[in-house]
Amino acid sequence: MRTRRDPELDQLFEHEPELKELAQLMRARPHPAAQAEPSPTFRIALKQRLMREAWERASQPAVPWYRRLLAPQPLAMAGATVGALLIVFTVFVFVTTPGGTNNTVTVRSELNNARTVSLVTSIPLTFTQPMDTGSVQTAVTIVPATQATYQWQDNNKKLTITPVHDLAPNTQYVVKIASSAKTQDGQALTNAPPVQFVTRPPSPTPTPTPTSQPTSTPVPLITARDIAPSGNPASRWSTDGTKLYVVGPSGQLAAWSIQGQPASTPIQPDGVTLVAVGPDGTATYVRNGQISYGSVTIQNVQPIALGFGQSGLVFATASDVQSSDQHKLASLSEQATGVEFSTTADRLVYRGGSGNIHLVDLTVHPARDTALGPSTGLGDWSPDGARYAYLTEAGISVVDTSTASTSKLLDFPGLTGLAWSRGNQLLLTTSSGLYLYTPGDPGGAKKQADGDFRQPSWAPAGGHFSFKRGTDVWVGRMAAQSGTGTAAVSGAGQDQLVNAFMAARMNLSADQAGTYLDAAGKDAFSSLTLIYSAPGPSLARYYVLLNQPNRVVVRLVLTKGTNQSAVDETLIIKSFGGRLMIDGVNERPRASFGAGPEILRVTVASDQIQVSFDSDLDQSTVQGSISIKGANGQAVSSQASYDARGKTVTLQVAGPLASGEKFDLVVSNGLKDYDGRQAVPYDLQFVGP
Amino acid sequence: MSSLPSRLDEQALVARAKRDPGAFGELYERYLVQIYRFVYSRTRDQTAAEDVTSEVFMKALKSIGRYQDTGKPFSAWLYQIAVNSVADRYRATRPVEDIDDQRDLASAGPALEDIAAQRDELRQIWAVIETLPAQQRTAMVLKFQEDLKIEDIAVAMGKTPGAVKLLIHRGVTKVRATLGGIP
Repeated sequence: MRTRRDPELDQLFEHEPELKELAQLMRARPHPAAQAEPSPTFRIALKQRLMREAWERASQPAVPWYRRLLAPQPLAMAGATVGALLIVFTVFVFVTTPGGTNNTVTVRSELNNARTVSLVTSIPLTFTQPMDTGSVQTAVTIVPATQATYQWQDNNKKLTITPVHDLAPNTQYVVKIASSAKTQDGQALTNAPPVQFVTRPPSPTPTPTPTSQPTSTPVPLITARDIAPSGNPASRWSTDGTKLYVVGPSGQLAAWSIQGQPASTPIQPDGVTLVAVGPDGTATYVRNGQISYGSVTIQNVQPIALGFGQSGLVFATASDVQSSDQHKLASLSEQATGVEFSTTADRLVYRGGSGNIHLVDLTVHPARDTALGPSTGLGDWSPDGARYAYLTEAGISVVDTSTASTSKLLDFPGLTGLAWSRGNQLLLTTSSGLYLYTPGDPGGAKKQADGDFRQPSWAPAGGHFSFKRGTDVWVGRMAAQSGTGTAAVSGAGQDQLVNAFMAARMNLSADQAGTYLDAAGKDAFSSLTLIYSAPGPSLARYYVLLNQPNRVVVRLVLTKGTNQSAVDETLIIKSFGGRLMIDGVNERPRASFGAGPEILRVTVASDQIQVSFDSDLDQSTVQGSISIKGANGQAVSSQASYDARGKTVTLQVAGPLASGEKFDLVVSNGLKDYDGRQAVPYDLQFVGP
Repeated sequence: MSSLPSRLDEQALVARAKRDPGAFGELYERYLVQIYRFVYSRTRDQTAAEDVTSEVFMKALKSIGRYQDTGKPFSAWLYQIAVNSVADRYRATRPVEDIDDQRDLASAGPALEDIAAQRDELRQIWAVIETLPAQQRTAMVLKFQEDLKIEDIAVAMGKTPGAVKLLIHRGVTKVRATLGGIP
């Protein structure tokens, strides 16, 4: 009830005391509906919808004038008319075609294989036939367990699955549809491969886009050496990162070993205009209008880029894309001045004579050529091939190749080149410096060295990179990035150290990773795996489970094919004169990773422990299934509560946890996710704060 | 009534929301309940209230780039969208009638003959308000339920402050005439 009088009403009814009192009474006793509350489900669902729409809008480039010209109402009306005619035609064909049940029924999702997916997103599924909604909804499973709502559109051919809560960060999601899903006429799904995607890491999205001007004079953080004079064609790394193929000023091609003193092996004496390295390590080059790829030669061609797909060599000229048998795969919508194929050559990006950058999707027929907007230069593919970063006047933009949507990644005018590492770091060059940028780092790019840098290229492994300066090609290597003078052995300093260490490991750079280890740390890792590389599983991502003074627990997610496993490493951190180093490590494989709800992060305070999960949990199973034990094995009295929005369980401890004392966080198999899957038992040691 | 710091804070938030989806999320959290309650009081149906509230915020998201700060609270602009959305919905369901001629919200409010049976004076008052012409009703709700200033109601309804005062005066007079002894 409002008690204060409203002077506006007193003034309005100044000479009508009865009306004045009635008005003040009405104001003091609002409408009963004024107590109505939106339901939590509605509140969350609408926010997710709005955020999705907002992010889509934020990521869309401004509509160019010619598109606006093409979008007046008459055109829309014409489109609607054509659409209506198509519908009539489709219905006619459907009605008059006997045996419609023989059609194959498949499903696809544009989210499949996407990386760094927003935590606020919906999962679209498109079926080739109208579906029986009930049978589909009961056949859908999402792992990790995710409570969701289902909306059908387009005559029950499009299903949008909207998670009720935000997705978990840095997590691989798999959406499966069981064979019990049926069409409206009872036909089973012919082909329903799982939809798989990975959400973005928990680091905040930089907003506004960070700028990258250094705030202080940097010290050189790289070591580099001059390798050889080089011509215009870009140098290329061998697949193992030990050799660099360099085309000299007069077209001579040589392989330069970068181990020890640089030494060259001549391959061709002159006339080479392009070099590339096949997935099997074979050096492939163009000389006098002929492509040489092992024993294969293709004559009378003028390629400007080479790619290697599942069906073999492909190449791009200024006007088209061709296979090794010179079958045209795509025509380019404008003359290309530079082309970059993705690792699997299923897509390419080219820069046209107009300066516009284009994405060409070769997985569809006919190939789809999408103009993305103006650019100042080509860039590089992300390691997973899902994104391509390129140079613009303002800095760096990124295109998501599954949706062809672009977004600005970094404000940084004046860039001359970029290279994207396995460890998701971007090496950026300008005419006055070399920078390192980790997407999502709100601090922007960090200067590594002064000087003129161009044509950066990461070695596939080993932490080396090449660049061009003057007329020569150089090879550089990152030095240690830690030891920034942080005296406190905790918090952000530890985070920085661990993130730099893990980035080096994801870059397959043992040398660089080793710079974060002291002698004891190197000794500890000597019996463990520092670098995960083929033919074994590879390090796909990691997350910090627990960060306490002197001790960080990191979960490494390893993948091989479609299999996932995990290892927990406990890193012991020590400070040496203010410089943080990793002094030891304990490793423990995580049994049956992903078979039930998994912990993503544990935060310890004196009177409570917060445990974030990757799954929506069955709230009724939380109490009693997550507990704390003291060093003597005795249970510490605590009360569990569950926040569904954050997928977080908070254990409120009856009294403060003794500082410095060891405790165990224990998760039993009594904990179940929203779909009823039991947790695989787990315990995590922590220290009272 | 908003204080100066909170107005400045709101201005900054709105400015950020034009380019930052996260800031629009904050605006949403700030005003959802207020707008939902207003819409619910107009529709008296949860599903309809959710539909219209969704429409209000989607329209706000689409139009926020064009929003101009005129010194009025941002909520006045949201109410303006809400008032129009409710009217649009009403118009869509009753296409042949002029909204200003409507006397009730179909199944929403109680019929006049039921009013006398209601013992609660609060219900009686609001029941009468439900019978007012749409413009009067909207002005009354924005003033007495939402506690907006007359200038902000004018923004929300696209009218002058004087016209709003007139609508409220007529509305209160009508309530007084219908209920007689209250208060």
